[in-house]
Amino acid sequence: MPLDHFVVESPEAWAVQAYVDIANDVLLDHNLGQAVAKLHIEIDPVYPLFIAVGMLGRLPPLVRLRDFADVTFEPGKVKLGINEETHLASLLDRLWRQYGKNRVEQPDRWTVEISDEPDLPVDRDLADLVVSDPTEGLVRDLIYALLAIAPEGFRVREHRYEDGRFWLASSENTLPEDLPARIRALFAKMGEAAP
Amino acid sequence: MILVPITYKGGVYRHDEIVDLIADLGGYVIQKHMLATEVVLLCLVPRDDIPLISRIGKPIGGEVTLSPLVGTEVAIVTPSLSIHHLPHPACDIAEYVRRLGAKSNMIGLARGYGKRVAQTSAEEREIINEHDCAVFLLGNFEHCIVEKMRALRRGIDVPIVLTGKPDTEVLRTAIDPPVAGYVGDIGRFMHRTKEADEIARLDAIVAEIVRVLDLRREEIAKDPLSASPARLMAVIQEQVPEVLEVTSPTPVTVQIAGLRVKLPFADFADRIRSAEVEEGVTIGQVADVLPSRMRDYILVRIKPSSETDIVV
Repeated sequence: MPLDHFVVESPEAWAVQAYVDIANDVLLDHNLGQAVAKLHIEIDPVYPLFIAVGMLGRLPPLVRLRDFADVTFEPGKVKLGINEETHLASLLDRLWRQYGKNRVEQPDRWTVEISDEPDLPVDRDLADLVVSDPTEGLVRDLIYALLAIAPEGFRVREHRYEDGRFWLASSENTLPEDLPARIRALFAKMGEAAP
Repeated sequence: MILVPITYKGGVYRHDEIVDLIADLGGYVIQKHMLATEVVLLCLVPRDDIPLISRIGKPIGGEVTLSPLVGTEVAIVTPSLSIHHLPHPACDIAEYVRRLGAKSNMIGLARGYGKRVAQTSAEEREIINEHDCAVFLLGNFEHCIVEKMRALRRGIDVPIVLTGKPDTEVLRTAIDPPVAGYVGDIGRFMHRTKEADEIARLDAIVAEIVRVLDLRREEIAKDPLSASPARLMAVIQEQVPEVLEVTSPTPVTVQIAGLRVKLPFADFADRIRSAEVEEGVTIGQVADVLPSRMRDYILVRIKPSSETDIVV
């Protein structure tokens, strides 16, 4: 797997190679091989504690309304001509939350209309509306993958993602007090700052 | 007459001649698979007659191989049924063992994960104890394997074969008191076993199971069973024909010292007890017919001859 930094640390030598293979297989199975740029895993079987820290590679761009729909302002309504249905569900969800279900109509599969009233105007920059952030799904998949990599009994978990950097710690016991310091140390080994 | 486990693989065409031959020689067909135009027979046959079966099977494309696991039921025990252990390695190992003739049952423990919290329930222990041996598939850390085995082995009476990532010798040294068998270098992994070295590890597991079961057979041979499990299988199939209508692949599963009959205990236990093996000798006299913890099946445990004074 072409990662810039990929290290597994553990006091038991045979477990290191086993977890390198497990991480490889899991990330490839979840199509995360290209998304993750750096990954550093530390496993302490005695405490026991599993820490994975890392960085995502190039983040996918935000999906805006103009990327998949034509926006036309007409008297009394705004008409959206949908070119691609992939993001339609999340678009409707956003429009319902912003304008209410009574103002959003879908007369056919490829058209959405929002009633534009003088006292309740539709945002003139509607085309720039952020419909979905693919990074959210990516991070969700990543956390799921890290939980599949971690030993199974480690049910006490904590994770964080911020600006392309992520960490996940899990254990069978309560997480240790020095966890932040350990995470910072692992990020330092990758040449990065902890989120 | 010493019966030897073999696998016969050949075409469907004229395979009934082989089935008849095995019956005429005093052998038993334990399991029969029909896969499109291929038939696989798992059998116990007299040792001296193997060349004869090979010779008769050859013109119709049949092939005979020794399969030491035929007539055994093996429990493949994993700490859970989660993505961490399934489908690899648990399914790979269960399937490989099955391919070599054993009836393998996968048992995913409800709370077998975690070194501190791992435990087994009474039901799980009783189900495992109904098998000829149990293969425990544990993970990659010696420290965790040692801790967990203390809890997982409690109450298990059948021989245990332990697998884990540390070397076999490391496992052998670390586990105290010892278990029956060890196979190292096969811990938790997340891909299908297809490379040559991975298949070699599966072969090592099979070899260890065979060794452990041979020891068990030797132990049983010191005080032989009152009846052969394969013979009781034939008796049950003949006198309780309802078992032939069961859709399970092995309606009567043969074990080293018993049988699992996949019929409801409440309805069929008495009929099985009263089935006659020979004139005046019933199954109830030579074996305990017990309810199995697996569904509502029947477990037949054959008594040693020293207990019954009967050998049939």
